[in-house]
Amino acid sequence: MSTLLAQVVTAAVAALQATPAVCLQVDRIRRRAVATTTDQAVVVRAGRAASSSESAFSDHPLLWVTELTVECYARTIGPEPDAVVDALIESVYARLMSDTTLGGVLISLEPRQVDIDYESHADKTACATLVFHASHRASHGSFS
Amino acid sequence: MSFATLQQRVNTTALKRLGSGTNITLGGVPVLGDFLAPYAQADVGQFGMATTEPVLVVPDAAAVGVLVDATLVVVDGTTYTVAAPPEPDGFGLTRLVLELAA
Repeated sequence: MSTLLAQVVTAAVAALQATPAVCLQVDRIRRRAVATTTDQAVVVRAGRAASSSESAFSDHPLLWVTELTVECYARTIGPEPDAVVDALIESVYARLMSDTTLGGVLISLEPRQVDIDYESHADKTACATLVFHASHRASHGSFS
Repeated sequence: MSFATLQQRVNTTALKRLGSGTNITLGGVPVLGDFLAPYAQADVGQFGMATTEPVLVVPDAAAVGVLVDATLVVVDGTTYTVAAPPEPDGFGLTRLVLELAA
């Protein structure tokens, strides 16, 4: 059985890849630059997970809140990239919010923050970083 | 011979011998220049996007009148726009940063 962190990422990737996929390339925890042949890409990764115990009893479940980061990369030639990345943001957000349990893995998925940065070289690129808080419950004795 | 004349002669010879050939136009006018497009990484997101940084190096005189986002450069059939103000290097050559044209 995989940990909470892996489960959240797997569920989010599956949701974004479900037909029709939000874009052709949806990666989990990518660690390299998006290739020049790829115009749009989404990268899902889990960051910090924080727990809150509502009880001191060791047999009571823990509520975990995991920071889920979804990066939306887009490139374009000619017009500014904000319109292209904007469309991708809309698709990703709508897909994840359509089922905030991500197929029953979570208690809830809540949007928290969006940051966007832009750059120009041969083409114009942008990346919108969407941060969600994924709430899930696990027993004291397991991180699954 | 003045230094400026010698410099111009050296630059012209270098571009002829070592430049990108003759299939370059700047604003519709054929120019002698050196085109390069090395790998670049756009610093967006956590890991960025691979891309290139196309640049055309021409004699200072060829860059006079270049307009950002308006002047077109065609290199071997691919069209670019001049994306930033011309960058004279102080030695008789000017660097033009390019972007692919729509």
